[in-house]
Amino acid sequence: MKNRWLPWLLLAPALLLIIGLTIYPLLYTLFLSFQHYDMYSMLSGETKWVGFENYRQTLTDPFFWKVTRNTVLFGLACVMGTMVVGLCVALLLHTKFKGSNILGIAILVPWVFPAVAGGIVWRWMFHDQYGIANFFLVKLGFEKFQGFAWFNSSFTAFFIIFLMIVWQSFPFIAISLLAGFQTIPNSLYEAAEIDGATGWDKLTKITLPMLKPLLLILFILSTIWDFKIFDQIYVMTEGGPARGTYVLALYSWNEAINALNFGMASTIAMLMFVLLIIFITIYVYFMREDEAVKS
Amino acid sequence: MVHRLRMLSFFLFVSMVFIIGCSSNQETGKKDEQAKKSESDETAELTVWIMETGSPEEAEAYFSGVTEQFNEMYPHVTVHVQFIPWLSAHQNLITAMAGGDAPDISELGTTWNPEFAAMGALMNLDDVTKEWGLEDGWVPALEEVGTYDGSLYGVPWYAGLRQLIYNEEILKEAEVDVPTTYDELQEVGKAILEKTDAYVYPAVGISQHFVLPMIWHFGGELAVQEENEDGDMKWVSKVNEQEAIDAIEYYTNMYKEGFVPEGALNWSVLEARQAFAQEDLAMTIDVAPGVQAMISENPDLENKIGIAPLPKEKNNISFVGGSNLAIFEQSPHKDLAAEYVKLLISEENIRKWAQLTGFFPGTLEGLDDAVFTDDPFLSVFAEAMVEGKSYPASPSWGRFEGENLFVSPIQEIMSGERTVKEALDDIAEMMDNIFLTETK
Amino acid sequence: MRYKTTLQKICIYSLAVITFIVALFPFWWMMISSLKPSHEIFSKVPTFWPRNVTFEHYTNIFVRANFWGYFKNSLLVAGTVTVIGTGIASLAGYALGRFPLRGKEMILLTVLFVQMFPLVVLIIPLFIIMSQLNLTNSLVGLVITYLTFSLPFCIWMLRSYFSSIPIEIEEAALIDGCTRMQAFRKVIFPLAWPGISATSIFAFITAWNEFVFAVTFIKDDQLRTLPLALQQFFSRFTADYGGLMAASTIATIPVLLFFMFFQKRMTKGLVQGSVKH
Repeated sequence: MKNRWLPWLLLAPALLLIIGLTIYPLLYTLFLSFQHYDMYSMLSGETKWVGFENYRQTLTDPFFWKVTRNTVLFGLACVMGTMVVGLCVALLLHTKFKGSNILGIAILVPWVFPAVAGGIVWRWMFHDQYGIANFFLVKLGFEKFQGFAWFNSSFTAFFIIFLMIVWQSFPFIAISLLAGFQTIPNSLYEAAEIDGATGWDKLTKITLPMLKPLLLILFILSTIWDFKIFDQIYVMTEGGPARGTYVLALYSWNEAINALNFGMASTIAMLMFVLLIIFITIYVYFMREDEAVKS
Repeated sequence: MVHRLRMLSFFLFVSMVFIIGCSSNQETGKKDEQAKKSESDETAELTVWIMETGSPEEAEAYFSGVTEQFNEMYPHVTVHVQFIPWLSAHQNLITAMAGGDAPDISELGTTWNPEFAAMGALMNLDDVTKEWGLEDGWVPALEEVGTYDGSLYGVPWYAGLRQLIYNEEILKEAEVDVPTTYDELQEVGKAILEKTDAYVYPAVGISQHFVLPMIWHFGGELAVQEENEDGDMKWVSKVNEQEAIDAIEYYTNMYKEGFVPEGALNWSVLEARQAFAQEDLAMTIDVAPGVQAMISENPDLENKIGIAPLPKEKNNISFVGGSNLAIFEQSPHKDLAAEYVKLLISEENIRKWAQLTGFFPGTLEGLDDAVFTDDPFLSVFAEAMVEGKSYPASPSWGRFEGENLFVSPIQEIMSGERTVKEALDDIAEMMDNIFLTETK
Repeated sequence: MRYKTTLQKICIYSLAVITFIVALFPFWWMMISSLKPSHEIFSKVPTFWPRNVTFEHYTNIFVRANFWGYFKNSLLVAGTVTVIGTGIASLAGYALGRFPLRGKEMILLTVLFVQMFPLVVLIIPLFIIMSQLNLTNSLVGLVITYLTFSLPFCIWMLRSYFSSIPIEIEEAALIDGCTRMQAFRKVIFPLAWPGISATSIFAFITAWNEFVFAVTFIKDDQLRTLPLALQQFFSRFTADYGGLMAASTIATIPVLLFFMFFQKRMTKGLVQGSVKH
C-alpha cells in the first residue's frame, strides 16, 4: 500500500511545478496559432479566429521550407558532432592518465562560458581582417585564407557556428557519459577480461549497451537543443548573410518580436514542435525496444 | 561528504527562505503604499524608462537632479528611473505592454514611435505641447516621426546624425582632398587604392544607415504616403524607382571595386569603425560619439581625423535618428508624467542631457547654443541637424529595421546573386505588403 | 587501465593536449584580450601576450557598474536552482527509474514537451502569469522559472542514471534488511552520485548563463544577473569590447573554481560508492 503511493509522492513536487507553470503558456501558444494576432491586437485585445490560415500561409512559403531544411540539417550535424566529440573525450578521460583531472576541468570552460560572449569571441576569431584563425592559416602556408571571409557564404558561416556549438556542448555530453561509465560495476569488466575481451570489445559489448538509455536520452536532448539554437546564431550572424543562416527558432522570434505577429510566431513554434515530435517518436520506439529486451 | 552536502543544501535552503521572506515583505509594503496613494491625490509613483548610456553613473546623477527639481513642485511623487539596455529595450516594452506593466514615461527610439502610436499605446500630446507653447519648436526630422495620423505622440528629446569622417594622413598620402560629391569619391577612391594600403569607404553589407540616405542623395525617396482608391492615405514604397536603383548600384559597386575588403559584406557599422580606428580605412560615416570612441581606441587619430559633410549627388541629406519621450496610455498619472517630460525638455536640462550623451537636443531652443554651433567638431553635425530627415513615419518601419529588410538584398547584390533591380523590386514588394496591413 | 604501451600513451597524451588547447583557446584569447588596451585588441597582427598589460577594463567594470551585486545575484539564483532542482529531480527520477508506474511514459513525454518549445514564444504568456503573481522583477520569480525549465532535463537524466544501476544491488540491500529509504541512501545514492553531480552542474550552468527570461523579467539594476550585465557593454551606437571581455572573464573564472572543487568530490563519491559494494 505504502509502495503504491510512494512514487507519486516523489513525483509530486516536480510535476506540480512543471504543470503549473508551463501548461498555460503552451496552451496559449496553441490557441494563438489559430488567431490573427498582430501589433494592433496587442492592446485592443481584438483577435480574429482564422482557423488554419496561419498554417496554410507558413506551409506554402518556400522560405519556411528553406529554413526548416537548414534547421534539420544543421541541427543533426551539431548533434552528431557533439555526440562523437563528447564520446571520444569521455573515453579519453576514462583512461585515467596522469593529468586527466586537469583536462576534466579544462573542458568545463567552454560550457561555463557565457553563450553571448562565446558567440562574440568566435565571430571575432574568424573575422576576415582581424581574426586569429586566418592569421594562423596564412602562417601555416594557406595563402588563400588571407582576408578569407568566413561569413560571406551561408555554408562557411554555418560551419563556424557548428564548430562553436560543438565546442560549447561537447563538455556536457563528455561529463554525462563519464559519469555513466562510472555507474557500471567493475565486476562486469573483470569478468570480461577473464574471458579475454579486448578494449574495443568491452566498449561495444559492455559499456555502450549498458549506457543505452543514457546515450539515447543524451541524443534526444541534444536534438531538442540543437533544433532550438537561437542565441549563438543571433549573436554571430543574425541569420545572415542574406538570411542564409536562418533557423526556425530565429524565424519564430523574428515574427514575434520584430514583426509583432504573434499568431504567426506561434504557428512556427507549433510546427517546430511537430518536427521535434517526429524525433521523439523515434526515441520512444527505441525505448520500447530497449524495455522489451530487458523483460 | 554527504554530511557536507547536507550542510550546503541546508544553508542554501535557509537563504532561499530568506529571499522569499524578504521579497514578500517588499510586496506587502508596496501594496500598502498603493492603498495609501488612493486615499490622497498628492502622492503618486511614476516609472520612467531610459535607455542605458555609456556612462551609467552620470546618467543616474542627472536623473536624480531632475527628479529633485520635480519634487520641489510635487513633493509627494516618487519617481523611479529605470535604465533599460538598448539591445532588449524593444522587447521589454512589448512584453511590459502585453502584461499591462508599461512604464508611465519611456524613451523611444524614433523608429519605434509610429509603431507604438499606431498600436494605441501612447498618449496624444497635442494638447499638452500646445499648453507648453512648444508646438513648433522641434527639430523637424524628430517631430515628423513623433507624429502619427496628424497628432504628436512623442516629444523630440535628442538626436544624432552621421557625417563623413576621414583620415587626413591617408588622404595626403594619396594626394587627394576630401570628396564632396559622389563623382569625386570615385576619383579619390581610385587614388587611395593605388597609392596607399588602406581601403576607401565603408560600403559594408550590414548598414542601412549608410545605404538608405544615399537614395535621398540621388534624388529618390524611400516611401511616400499616397491616397488609394478608398481615399485613405497609404504608404507606398519607392525603393525600386530609378534614382534608388542608381544609388544602390553606386553603393554596391564600391564594394565590388574593392573600396572595402571582401569580408565587408558582413561588416556592420561597428566593424567599419574598428577598421577606421586601426587606420585601415581612409573614410567612414559615423555619429559624434562614434568619433570619440575611435579616438579613445587609437589616440594617434586625434590629430589625423577630419569631419566633413556627406558627399553630394543631388543633395547630401543626413539621416537624423534619436529618441523621443512618450507617455503611455496605460499610465494612471498622465498629467504628472507630462509635467516630468516638460521638465526633461526644458532648455537647460535637454542641453545637459545632449552633452552627456554626445548627441544634440531635439528642441530648436536647446540646439541654439554656442556649445553646439561654435565647436569646430560638433558644428559640422549640428548644422546638418535641421536639414536632416528621418525615415518614413510608418508604423511598420521599426519592423523593417528589426527584420533587417534592407540588409539581405544589399548582401545579395554584393555577392552577385541578384541584380540591383531584382533585389529592390523584391524589397518594394515586401514593404508594400507590410504597409497594406497597417490599419491607418 | 593498466596495460598501456608507449604507443598508446603517446596517442592518449597527444589527444589530451589537442583537446586541452581546443577547449581553452577561445577562453584564453578572451582573457588575454581583456588585458590589452582597446587599440591592441583589434590589431591586424595579433599579439599573443599583451604588449602593454592594462587592467583598465577591469577597474572600469568595478568602478562603473554594480558588478559585485550582479555576481551575488547570479550566485544566489543559480545556487538555489541547483540545490532545489537536483533534490526534486532526484526524487522524481528515482520514482520513474525504479517503480513500475502506470502512465510512466506519458509523464516522461509530458515532461519532455516542455523542452521542445522555443522559449521565445513562451515569454509573453509567462510574463503575464508572473506579473499576476507579482513575481516579475524579482529573483524568486527567476528561480521558479529556471527550476521549471531545468527540471524536465534533470528528471530525464537522473532517471536514466538510476535505471542503469543494476536492480540486483538494491534488492540485495533490501534482503539484508534495509528499508527502501536506507537502500536509497546507502546504496543507490552513492552509485548515482556522479550522475547527480553532472546533473547539478548542468542545472547550475544553465541558470548561471540564462539570458532570455532574465532580460524579460528583471528591470531593476540591483536585481540584474551577470548575463544581463554583459549587455551593458553595447549601447546604442558604441560597443566596449574590452569591457565585455573582462566581464566575461570574471563571469567564467569563479564558476570554474567552484567546479574544480566539485569535481574532486565527484570522484571521491565514486570511490566511496565502489568500496561499498
